[in-house]
Amino acid sequence: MQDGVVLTTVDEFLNWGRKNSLWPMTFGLACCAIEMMATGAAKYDLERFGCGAFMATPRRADMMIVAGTVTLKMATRVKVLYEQMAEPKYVISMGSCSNKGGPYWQWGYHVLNGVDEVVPVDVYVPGCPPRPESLIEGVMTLQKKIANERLLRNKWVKHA
Amino acid sequence: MHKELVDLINSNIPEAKAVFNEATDPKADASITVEASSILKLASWLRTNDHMPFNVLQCISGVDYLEYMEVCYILAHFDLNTPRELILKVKLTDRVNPNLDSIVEVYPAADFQERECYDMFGVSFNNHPDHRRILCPDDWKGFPLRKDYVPAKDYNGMLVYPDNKMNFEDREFIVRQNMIKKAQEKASES
Amino acid sequence: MQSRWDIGEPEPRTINKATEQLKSELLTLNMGPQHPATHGVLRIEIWTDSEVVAHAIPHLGYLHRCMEKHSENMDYRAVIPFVDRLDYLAAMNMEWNYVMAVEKMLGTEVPRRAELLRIMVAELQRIGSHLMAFGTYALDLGAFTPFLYAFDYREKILRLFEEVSGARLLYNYYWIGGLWNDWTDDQLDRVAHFCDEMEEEAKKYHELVSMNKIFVERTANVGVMSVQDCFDFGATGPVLRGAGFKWDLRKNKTYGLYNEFDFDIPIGTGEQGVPGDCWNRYIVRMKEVVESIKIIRQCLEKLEPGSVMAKVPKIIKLPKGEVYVRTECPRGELGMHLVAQEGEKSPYRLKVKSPCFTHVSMLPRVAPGQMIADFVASVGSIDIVLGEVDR
Repeated sequence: MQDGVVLTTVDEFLNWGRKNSLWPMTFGLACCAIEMMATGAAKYDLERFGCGAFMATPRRADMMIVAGTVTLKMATRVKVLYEQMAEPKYVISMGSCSNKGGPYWQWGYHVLNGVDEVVPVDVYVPGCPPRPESLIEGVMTLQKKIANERLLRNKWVKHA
Repeated sequence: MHKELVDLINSNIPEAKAVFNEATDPKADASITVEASSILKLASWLRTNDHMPFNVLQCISGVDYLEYMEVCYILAHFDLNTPRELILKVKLTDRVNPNLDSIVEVYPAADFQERECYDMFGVSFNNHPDHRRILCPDDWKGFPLRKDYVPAKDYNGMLVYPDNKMNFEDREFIVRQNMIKKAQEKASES
Repeated sequence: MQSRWDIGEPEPRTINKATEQLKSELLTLNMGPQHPATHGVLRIEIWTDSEVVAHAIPHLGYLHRCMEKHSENMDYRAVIPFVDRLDYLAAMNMEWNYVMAVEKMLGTEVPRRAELLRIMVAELQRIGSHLMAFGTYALDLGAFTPFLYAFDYREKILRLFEEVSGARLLYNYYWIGGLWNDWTDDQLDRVAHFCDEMEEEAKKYHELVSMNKIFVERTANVGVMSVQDCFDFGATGPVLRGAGFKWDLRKNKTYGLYNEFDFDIPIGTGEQGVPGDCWNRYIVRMKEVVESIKIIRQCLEKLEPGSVMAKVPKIIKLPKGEVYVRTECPRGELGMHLVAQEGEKSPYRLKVKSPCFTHVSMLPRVAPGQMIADFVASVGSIDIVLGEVDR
């Protein structure tokens, strides 16, 4: 065989393409949003992982990074935005407020204790706010998760 | 400054019955208490008079003492030569439906501040242009910052304090639940 | 010079009876809670007549985190991290205000070195906050380069804070009675080096953005708020100074040791546009960065060795009374109304008067008659942080 030929499975090939170009939706709610912006800025560059294009619209985004406290008033909107995203989609819950309510768990009558009450979450990133390196590790964990998926057996793709 | 202002108010608007509250501790701030029914007249006098005007309303803060409620108006005068500040208090004895006149015509800053006071304490303001909740959703039940407030178990299908996420061994949590029970008992007795 | 695309003046349109009688309504748009240009979760309901805004109604509460309820149940010391998270871009200034309120009621005397370091850290934080405002404002208007430059210099400030307090964004550094960690000489040298670098950068930003023709056309004469409007709504900080009124709490009602320092208060003079428009508010912030650098340099000269923490009782209990303390934060004048009962371990009531809350209430006055793009520029120029507005 000559050089320049790669043998792989279809699943691996599709997963390689999908995990290296995850486009996040800008869903910064509170302080964690500032760390998300710092991760996208020049020093801790998120663009080298393929997540460069921060889409404002959910229709074109692959993943939603929920950064910040989700309040009861905002929770219905989070659900609507999640449903507007196209399959296959992923959710990273960034920061302790969206993991489990954060420092406001005790007497926050208007705080939703964790965004996993309204949307299914794939990766939880702890911290208050998490360092940019932690968020990058969260994105890399999601990439490892995607690498193990079998896209063609996914019920949404099979019946598309 | 406070004593002079009390005399001026009592001579110009006698129904205000202004009283000077000297702070019990010298490091704290002094304030002036006035009658609730005279607040609109007093506000327009305070803004437009020549001796001691106050041209900015900075904050309206409510405090819930269990027997009565108090609304504090914090006023200031922004002037490069004679700046001054004032805390003006109004006592409301009716805890079920407290009521005050709105001073939005005099100080437009009162718009959002009064809406917040209504949202958190239930104090309704007459003649307010947009009288609805500002921070909590429109269909929220109860007034959160009152001392006997207990949040509802769920809101539109979402659990507010789900059991699997609460740390029941937290010491402060237990202490606070007892305090709420005591405040509720006191409120239901009176 | 005549270009070949010049087709002369357009012909006047014919207005006939049919178009005159067309019924039209105002269109309601939602500049919704999830929006790339609203600095957080602010929802503004805009009623437009084609491209021109007729009225704008802000809806708040999407980030209401019940901070005032928490402060009634926590110790005096445990409230400090909650106060941090109000305005998360200027956390040190928020903490200073609360700590000053508690110290005023307790009567503690803070050591001199701690007071000077507090001023230095607050001014560094002010530079960081203004850099962030500058970067995101340019991003709103479509420019991406200033955002990256501003974040790069902001990382240097965050690096300094991380060395001394352990966290990048929310510090819990100002404690009741002083500060919890001292600065070493090595770190202070780095602060001096940063000041030199920042001065050069500020000149670069001035050439890149402030005098840029597109930026000036988009922000000059847009969103004018006069001094009387500011008094009506209680606006303070760069909004009031951009309108031309020289009011700064650091000079007019000094707190801390600010009366020993020599600095100037920039106001909007109408160099481009009129005083009170978006350009003047922006230029006030840029000039304040230069003044903050002056204050930090004077601070470094005055520092002497000493302790940074006063003796404070293990369980803090305040006497009965209330106090209202004001400080100058990067976004305006922050006020905290602290009511304490005798013998209680936590505040009875802590009301936070945040500057951005009053500034948002000015939007319905500014909006009518502007185009939507101008409205976006006005919203960006008042520099809102929703954590403070909704508490």
